[in-house]
Amino acid sequence: MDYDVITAGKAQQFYATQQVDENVDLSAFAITRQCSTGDGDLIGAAIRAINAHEGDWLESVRGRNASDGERNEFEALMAGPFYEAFRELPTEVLDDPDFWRYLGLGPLRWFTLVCDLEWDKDGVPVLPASSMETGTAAKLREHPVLRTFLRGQMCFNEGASAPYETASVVGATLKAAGRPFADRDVLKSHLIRVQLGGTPALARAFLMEVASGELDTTKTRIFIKYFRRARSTSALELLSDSEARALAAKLSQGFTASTTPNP
Amino acid sequence: MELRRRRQKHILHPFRGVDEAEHALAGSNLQVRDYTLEPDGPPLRDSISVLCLGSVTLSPGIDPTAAQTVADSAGVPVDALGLVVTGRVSFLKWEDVLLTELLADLRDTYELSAAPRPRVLRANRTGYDLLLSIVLMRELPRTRLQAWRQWSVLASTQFKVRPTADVGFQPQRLTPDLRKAFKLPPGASRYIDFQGDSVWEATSVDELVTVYVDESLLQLMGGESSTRKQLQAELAGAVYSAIFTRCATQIDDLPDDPATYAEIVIAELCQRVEKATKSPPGTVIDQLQKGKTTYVDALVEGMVDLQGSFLHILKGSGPSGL
Repeated sequence: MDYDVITAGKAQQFYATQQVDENVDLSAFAITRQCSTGDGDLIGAAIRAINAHEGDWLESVRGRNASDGERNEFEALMAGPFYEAFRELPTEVLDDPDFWRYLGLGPLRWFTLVCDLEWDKDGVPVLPASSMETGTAAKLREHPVLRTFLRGQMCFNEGASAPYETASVVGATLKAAGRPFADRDVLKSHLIRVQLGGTPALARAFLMEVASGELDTTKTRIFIKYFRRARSTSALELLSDSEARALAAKLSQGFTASTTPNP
Repeated sequence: MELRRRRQKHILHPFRGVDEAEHALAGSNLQVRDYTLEPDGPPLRDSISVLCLGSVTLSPGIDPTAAQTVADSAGVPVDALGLVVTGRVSFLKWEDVLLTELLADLRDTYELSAAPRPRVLRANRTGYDLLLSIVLMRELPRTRLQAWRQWSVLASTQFKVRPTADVGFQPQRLTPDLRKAFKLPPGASRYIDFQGDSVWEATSVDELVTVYVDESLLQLMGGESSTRKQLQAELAGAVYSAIFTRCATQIDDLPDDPATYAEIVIAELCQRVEKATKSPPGTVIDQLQKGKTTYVDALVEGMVDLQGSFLHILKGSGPSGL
């Protein structure tokens, strides 16, 4: 199966062309790689599934500029569709940073623009350089396309009536409290950039703790500190959902998962 | 570039038996294709194209006697201890448990790549880690300085598998639009485009060079016939020659231990040429430093047996030859 990618070097060259429109010409920058597995139009189908949501967004913001909270909320709601669309792709494709870079600059560019478009002091739309993710694979995880897929992945609760509920639970709580839907920083700082995102059960439990109001900024930092200790002493990947919730509740209170008994 | 490593030993927790557990894991090894990795050793680097396909076999190296030693030292029943093997792909934030087995029931080897191959072992672009941990599998009564909580880790060790730069390349279609963009004349069959000014800044072969072949020619070149293979070999030779010519203007010395992708790619290409032509190691770099790029071109032609290809094509080609 062939698939298209853009390397970091080519993305830099493309970025220099300053194209910020929805429709751009990537033919001179994209290349084709081969994957040893997979057939059919898996990638095309995944892209079409995501692009089917573009109309929803455009309808919701027709004739006006969307607020940052609205953009944030849309991004959170897209976590489920992204994970559903891409989860069955071959690992060789998913594990290729250049593939995600290509999606964000090409077929799913509209989504990048929804999530990341900024305006300079003269009111001119600008796509930040970080959106091109010309850097390392680690930075690429913060690109809207991949971070939304990862959000869906870590929030997916198989068998639950609302499998992606936790993807937007923090923002929804803030919104209900009259504050902007602003969960992107929580996602980046505490789930994407750190190892907590690699243990989905605990990641979901953490989000529920944040949404419940148990964790303010200070307590969140304590939670993460004790999570790191717990991770070095316990095989957290073996936790069930109920065990993860119980541990998250303890961590949010500043307890360690230490096995050292009380003196 | 000098490669620096630092190792730090951490005592995970003040349990009894931690040292014995670490000692037990020190006897493990991982077999990836023909390579053997030692625990907490340097990463294995293998070609992107085969990293997701080769066999992966774990030898825990913990026999029943060793298991009992760990249990006795830790003060826990031997049937409460287990080995957990977790595959991690950091880029995708995957942490998949590949194996859980009681320490007392461990086999000599486990083929982790047995079908269906776990997804973490298919991560050939960013690589994967395999974490081995001796874990308390059930909760025990609380006892001072002793592991009691379920899933407590007494010791762990890690194997890292990373891709090396693949020296293969995928030719791209040279379309009429690209031909115009590159200002190529109608008779040009291919174009080798280097990214950037310095070969040493590339992080992958695709960043080092993009090879464009006329789209109708590319379509005819695909396939398994011997003439097609010879044309493919000739193209590969042309690309390698172009890379070496580019290197010639920028090369001072290739480090003994290439570290960056570009250095690894160039070193790999040099080795292939020298091995195929039975030239002494270092010949390619030596000739490039002397400015003898045409001699290096000849070595490359020898590697792809261009003479043989031409003879085959001239003697046996025709419409049926393709």
